[in-house]
Amino acid sequence: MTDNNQPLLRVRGLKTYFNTENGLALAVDGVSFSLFKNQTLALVGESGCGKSVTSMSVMRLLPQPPTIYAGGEIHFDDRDLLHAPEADMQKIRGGEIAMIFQEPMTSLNPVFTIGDQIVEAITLHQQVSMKQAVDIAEEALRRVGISEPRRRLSEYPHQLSGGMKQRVMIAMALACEPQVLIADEPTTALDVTIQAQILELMRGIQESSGMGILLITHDLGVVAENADVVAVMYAGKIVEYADVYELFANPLHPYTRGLLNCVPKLGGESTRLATIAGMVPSPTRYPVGCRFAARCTECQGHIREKEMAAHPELREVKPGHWVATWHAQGYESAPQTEPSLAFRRQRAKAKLTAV
Amino acid sequence: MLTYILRRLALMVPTLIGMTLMLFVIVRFAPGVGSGPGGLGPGGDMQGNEARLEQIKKHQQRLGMVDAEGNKIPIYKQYFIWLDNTFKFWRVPMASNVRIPTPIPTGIDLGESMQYRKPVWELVKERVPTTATLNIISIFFVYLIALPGGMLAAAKRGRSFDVAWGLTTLALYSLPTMWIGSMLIGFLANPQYVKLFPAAGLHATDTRYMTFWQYSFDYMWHLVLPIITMTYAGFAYLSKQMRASMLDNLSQDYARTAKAKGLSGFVVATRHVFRNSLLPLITIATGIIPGLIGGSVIIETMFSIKGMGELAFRSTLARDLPVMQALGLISGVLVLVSYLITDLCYAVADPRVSYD
Amino acid sequence: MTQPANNLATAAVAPVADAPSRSFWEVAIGAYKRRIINRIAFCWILFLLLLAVFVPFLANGQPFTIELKRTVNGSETWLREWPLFAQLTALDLILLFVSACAVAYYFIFKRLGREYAEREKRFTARALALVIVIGAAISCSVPTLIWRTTPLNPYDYRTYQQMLQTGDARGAVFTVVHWGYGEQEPLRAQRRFEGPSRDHWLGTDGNGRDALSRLLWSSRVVMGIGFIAISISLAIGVVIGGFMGYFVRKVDLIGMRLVEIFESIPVFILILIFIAFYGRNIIMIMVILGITGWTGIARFVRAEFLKLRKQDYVQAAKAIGLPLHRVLFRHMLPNGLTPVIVVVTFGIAGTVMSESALSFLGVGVEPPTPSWGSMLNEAGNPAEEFRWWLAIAPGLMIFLTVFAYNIIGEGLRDAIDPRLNKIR
Repeated sequence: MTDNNQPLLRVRGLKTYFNTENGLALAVDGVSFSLFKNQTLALVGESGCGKSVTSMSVMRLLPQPPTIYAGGEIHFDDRDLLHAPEADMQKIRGGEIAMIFQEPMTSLNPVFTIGDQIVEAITLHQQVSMKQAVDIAEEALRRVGISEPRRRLSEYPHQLSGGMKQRVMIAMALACEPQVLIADEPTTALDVTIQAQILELMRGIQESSGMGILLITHDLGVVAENADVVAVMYAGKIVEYADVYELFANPLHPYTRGLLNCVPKLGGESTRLATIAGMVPSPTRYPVGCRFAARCTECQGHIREKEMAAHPELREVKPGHWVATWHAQGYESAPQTEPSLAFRRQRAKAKLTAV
Repeated sequence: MLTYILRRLALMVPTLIGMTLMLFVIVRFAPGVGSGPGGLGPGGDMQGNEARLEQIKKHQQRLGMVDAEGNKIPIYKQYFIWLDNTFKFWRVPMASNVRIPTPIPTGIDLGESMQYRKPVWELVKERVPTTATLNIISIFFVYLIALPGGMLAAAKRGRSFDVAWGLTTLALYSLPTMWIGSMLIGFLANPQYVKLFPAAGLHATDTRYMTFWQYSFDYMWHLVLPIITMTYAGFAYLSKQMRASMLDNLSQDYARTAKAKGLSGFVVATRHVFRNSLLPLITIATGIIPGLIGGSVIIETMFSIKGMGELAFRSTLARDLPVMQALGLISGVLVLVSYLITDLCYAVADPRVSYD
Repeated sequence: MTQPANNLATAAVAPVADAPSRSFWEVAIGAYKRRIINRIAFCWILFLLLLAVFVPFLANGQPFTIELKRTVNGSETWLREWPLFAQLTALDLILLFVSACAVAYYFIFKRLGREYAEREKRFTARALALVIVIGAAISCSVPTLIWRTTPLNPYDYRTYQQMLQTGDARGAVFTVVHWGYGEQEPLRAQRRFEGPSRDHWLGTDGNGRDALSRLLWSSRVVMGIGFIAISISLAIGVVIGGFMGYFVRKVDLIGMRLVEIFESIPVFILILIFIAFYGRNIIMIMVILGITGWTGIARFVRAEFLKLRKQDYVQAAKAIGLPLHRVLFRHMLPNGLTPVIVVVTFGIAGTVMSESALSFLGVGVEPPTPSWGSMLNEAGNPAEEFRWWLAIAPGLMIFLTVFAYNIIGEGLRDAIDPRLNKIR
């Protein structure tokens, strides 16, 4: 077990590439972060920036032929997950690190009952009898707030609503008491009220069990409410990494600023919605220099050679705030340390109002 | 569920009527049919011979084309008479001599074959076991080889096994049955080359004095070539279907969830994905039921096996109308029943399907 | 690997979609061509098509040209004659003309490409169609009106050889395979069932005709029956399936009963009945194969139309008041036909097999028209006298043709289906 000063999960320089017919796609190109106990790390970014691929890489769920794990390390429990044998990975998946996915409607096998699927996960990782496993499953369902859990065990997925299916997924993920939960856009496919319930459920479970949550989302509202640490990804790299309050208060990267700008605010004067001009570059043809330069408001009109020469690295510009842009104050002199933020604050969080 | 079954059965009736009517009209309007089994070609051959004319009239009477006085019966009446003779509809006795027909059948009478002079039902009873045995054994081997082949091809998708397996099964499917059959017989059952297997029939000529084991062995020995000829073409479709189904399901979200739970790839494929991939295969499996009638004509003809296909072929060539119509009816019923069975199997296999 | 996007403007303007846009069919054909076996199969079918068109020039008992000693007005003169050309039938000429037009069509449209608008392309297409029809009509009439003024030579190769030896003829140029497919001659019967020899490269059949020549001429029968039967199936299937998919409920109910009726008939037996009762006729075989094969296409089209009718562009077309036939044919049909191509290819393969099976059973095309199936029949009773040369060659041809069609069908299906190409 880890104490509070050691991260549960430490990713360093992860590189995951895909062999496609258009070339090599650099989906994840040097990503580093650390997840501590009792902490929620949010991985934010647009579609296609590589956040899902990162989470799948941690679990090594990507099929090998088109996927190449080109480099980096993933430290968990004194092991490097990228180089662990498959048998070890199977023990870790579901048992130590669990994952829930975006589409609850299709994530459960339609021909098996809920009970069958949860019990399967339990018996895989714990040495319990069938009866005990069923009891654990029922308890898990009760913990996620499903009514009449005993009856639900013998129902089929198509008999449940989307929100309930996502709760079942969470129950299945938590049945073996994992240390890390990876939630890949868990609420994107649900409507807003259910979204709030699911996130509250996850927060509650985190409090009671102390697990770390890697939350992947593109919704800044979800980030503000649930995250402790935020990592903003763009084009396969992390461009900003900070405590959530710090990020929302002082976004240093032009991309983060652009994202925060895009959120429509209530009560202001109604003007046009803000956007970030341009499009995400294709992962097979990234530019050599800064990948955001083409859309950057700071760079517009001033094409400096430095931007074209190299991609800015993630540097700790302020204590606890890493950013990868030439336009941050004191960037050139900032040390290039590894992004890792221990949990520093008490749980009680004031709700953020206007950002 | 019961209402669904009843509704399906009720819908079968118009289809059956349509099919039998079409068959009926086609064969009755054909030239040369009414002239009886005298081997007359299309277009008939009226020779004005008195005895011959009398024979023809008797034949037509038997077929129901002409009534007792020798007047021709219109075709629609012929059809209804045939229906009545076959199904013996229950007639409600009202007043004296007045009986109202109802559409409730009370029995089945398939008529008598002109060629073999036996009731059709007996012919069918004799031959169905043979054809059924052939088909069932063949299907068993097809499934035995094609299912694992398809699963392996899906697991090693894109690599050499997949490509080779796909091409091989496709090549086997493209080989014409009669070519392979005649090559097999010509080279393996021919005294000119190698006489390894018997060339015809399913039993040796003298089976009375064989023990049970000898009899079984002889039966199996006779079955080898026909089964090979029947089986080789079936791998392609089933294997392709299995592979496509597996690939489809392997990329589904629930397969990803199962992997994320910590199951090994093998367990995911064989337990989760396979269960879901089975569903299209049910349709294929129940599809052999209609094949019991006409599916193996060529094989039975080439190997001189007395099965249903051979019966259909011979009676067609001999213009044996009662047999042809009876076989058409049976075939139609089998096909429609197989559809119904498919639906019911789906309801059992897939919990999402419900007919209530 | 990564390419430096030196021009920031282009990187910003067209970063993702910077490959030239390709139409759906171009992508599909490109994916199809990638596997070598697909290209081989396509070449084989092309070869068979060319064979079917040009076979009179490859396997013919008449020479291209020959000089015969004839008596004209009492004196002997050498007249150069062109027997092969004189005996070309209307079908030969039509096939030649249509294939010439098809080649011209293909090259013209390749050149036109994207430079011309739809309207001009359609006009050119219609003009070409008109040219084809007129040309075909002319080709039909040429043999009857013009060329048949000269008497046909009833000679065959052996007679020509005799004439060459006795000096009654000279300067003859024969085709590669110098036998026709249906020659009859009193001496024929003596040369039945010969094995392969220098004269007859694949031996002779039961009537003494050259097996290789019959093999080559069968390609016409096989390809012709395949295409025409499938066209009939396609026409019926698309219409019925389209109606079923578009007008649901009542039409669908009736249509499904029709489909079930046609599916519940054992197809083989039905064909047997037709042919055994109504006589053997190549047109009838084509029509019946077509009429019994439409159910698969109808099911596919119905499924596609059911999916399409809920699409937004169909609703939009209806909303702006387009008449029904326009909605069906101009908007829905082009999109709904994509999976049908695959079914059609497999259907042609099935039709070729069926025709061979029928000919083998003796109820296919009537003699002297050759067909691979009937050649297989003549291989004799396999258990006794097995004439392997008559068994291997036609069977091999059937196999290669059906295999090629199946490969094409598979290749098209893999190329069209987007799911199998997606990387997850």
